[in-house]
Order: sequence, then C-alpha cells, then structure tokens
Amino acid sequence: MITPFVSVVVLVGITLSILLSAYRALRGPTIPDRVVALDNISINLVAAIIVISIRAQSALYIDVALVLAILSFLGTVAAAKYLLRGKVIDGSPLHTRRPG
Amino acid sequence: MVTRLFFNIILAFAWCLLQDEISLRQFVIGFLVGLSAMLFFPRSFHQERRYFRKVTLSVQLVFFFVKELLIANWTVVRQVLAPELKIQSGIVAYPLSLQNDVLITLLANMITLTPGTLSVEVAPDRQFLFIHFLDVDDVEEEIRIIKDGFERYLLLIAQ
Amino acid sequence: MEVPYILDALVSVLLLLGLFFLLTGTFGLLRLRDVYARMHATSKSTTFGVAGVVLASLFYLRYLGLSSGLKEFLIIVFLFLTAPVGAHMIARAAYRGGVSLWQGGVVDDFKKWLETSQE
Repeated sequence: MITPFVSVVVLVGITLSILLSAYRALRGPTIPDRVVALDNISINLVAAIIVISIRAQSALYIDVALVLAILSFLGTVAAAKYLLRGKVIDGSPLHTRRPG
Repeated sequence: MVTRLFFNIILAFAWCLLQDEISLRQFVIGFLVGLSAMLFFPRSFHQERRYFRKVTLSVQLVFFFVKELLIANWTVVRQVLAPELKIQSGIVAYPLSLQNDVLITLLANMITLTPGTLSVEVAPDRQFLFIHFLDVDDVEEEIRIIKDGFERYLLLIAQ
Repeated sequence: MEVPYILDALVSVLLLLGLFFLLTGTFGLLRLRDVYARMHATSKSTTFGVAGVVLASLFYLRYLGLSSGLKEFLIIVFLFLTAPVGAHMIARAAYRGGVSLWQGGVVDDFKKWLETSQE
C-alpha cells in the first residue's frame, strides 16, 4: 500500500506548482501572462481535488473537480473576451465576420 | 451522414436498454452491432459502405491523435527541461485545404492540444490557419507534417 | 481498504506521472520567454497531468465500487474539449492586444496578414 504515501507527495508537488504559478501571475509582465498563470493554478487545483478524492476514498470530490474545471474554462473565456473588447458581455460575436 | 450517425446512436441506446445496463462498454458494443446491422440492410449499399469507411477512419484518427499527443508531449517536456533554451518560435500561415467549419474547428483543436503547436487565428475566408510553433526549424516541413497527418484524415472523412 | 498490489502500483505510477507533467507545465510557465511559448507548456502538459491524476482516481474508485467512472471520464473529455478553445482565445486576444513575440522568433506570417487585411 504505497498509494496513501504517494498521494501526499503528489499533493505537496501540486502545492509547489501552484505557488510557482502564483509567482508568474503576480510578476506578469503582460495581462495574458497572468491569465495563463491563473488558468494553470485552477487546473492544478482540479488535480489536487482529485488526489484528495483518492485519499478520502470518496467520489463526491469528483463533482467538485468537474464544477471547478467548468468555472475555470468560463473564467478564461471571459478574460479573453475582456482583453479583446474591453467588456465581457457586449453582445458582439467573438469571431471575425466571414465575408459573404 | 449525420442522419446515419444519429440512427446508429439510437441503435446503440436501444442495445443498452435491451441489456438493461447503460454503460460505455454496452454503448460501444451496441454501436458496433448497429453498424453491422446497417451494413446488412442498406438503403443504398454504396452509401452504407461509405459510412462504414468514415467510422473506421474516425477510429484511426483517434489512435493517430493519441500517438501524436504522446510523441509531441515528450518533445515539449524535453525542450522545457533542457539546460539551455534553444527554441525558435514563430507564427506560420498554414494554407487550409478543408472548407467545412466543423472540421476546421476540429483540426484547430487537435493542433492546439498537440504540444508544440497552437492555433492563433483562422482567416475569415478560410484560406489560412495561423499556427504558433514552439520550435520551428523548417516551415515547409512543419506544414507538410500537418498536411499529411491530421488534415489528410479529416479530408478523407469530409469526402 | 485493501487493494491488490498491481492496482496500488498502477495508481501510484499514474499519480506520479500526472505530477511530473503538472510540474513540467509550471516550470515551462516560469521559464519560457513569451506568452505564446508559455501557453505551450501549460495548456498541454497540464491537460496531460490532469488526465494522469483523473485516470488514477478512475481506477482506484472504480475498484472500490465508489464510482462508476463515468464522471471521471467526463472530466477528461471536457478538459480535452475546452483546453484548446481557451488557449486559442487567449492567444488570439494576446496577439490582437499587442503582445509581441519574443525577438528570437524566426517567422511571423500573422503580422503580415493582419497588416494587409486591415487596409
């Protein structure tokens, strides 16, 4: 039974990874850099929650991870739209219009 | 094509209900059984054969994609962990042969998921896909690899 | 609860593999020189890393009979669908927002195209 031990190691590693990403999010230098770093943090969190589900031997955490993954995607899309248009909800399409 | 796929999925669900177990395994078995049943009772034999070929091609594409994903992941891991960064990145205009929007989306997504390449923009007239390469040695060579790989499969499926 | 040795080893290997990819992604995020290159590191190694961890939990919880495994599968499918879309949108917004490529870049066909198409 090495899984409990390995899962602790993995959790520590993920924490380290989140801290390092936080450095990039604080440092920048550009806004997209920060968005990418924050996205990376939430993906790491999803992984951390799934590792916790293994440690706790409970499937409930899987739903939490799924919701977090969905929210992180929404956040990324909103940030991208904000960078493009300066507003998140303005009714304009995200793509460039096709001629014809 | 789409109606056939729809019909096949309904058959797969019917199989799941007959087995009294809705699971991925039963769904895949049901899909295959439905596919062979559709081959035996063709509306027009030629069309059923074409559908069959498309399904086979799609499965092949999935395996090809997983293979590419593994190779490319390894390449990027090596590049990131190399003691000194010797990468030359750049954005390349990739001339598109595909004209179908859904398939272009699929191509762009597969390119982005494969490490080392990242789609940045599709030209509105569907002429070019702009791809950011993490490490580009020979532009022609990189374009040829995608043309002969992902896009060849998608073009065959689109036919 | 007791699990067989093979499952134990498989889960551990998958977890460590996932951690390796997660850390590589973060390392790339810190080390590479512009946003676009950094996105290669995160949007990919991270997807692979999460896939490793999720697969580990799929096998483990499924063996214990706590989960059917469908939801774990759903997470992988969802991530593989959304990760490229998010990456594409950020890259596009960054380029149009004027974040330039690192000077060591060799080609930039996109710039030429943007200049000619906006006449």
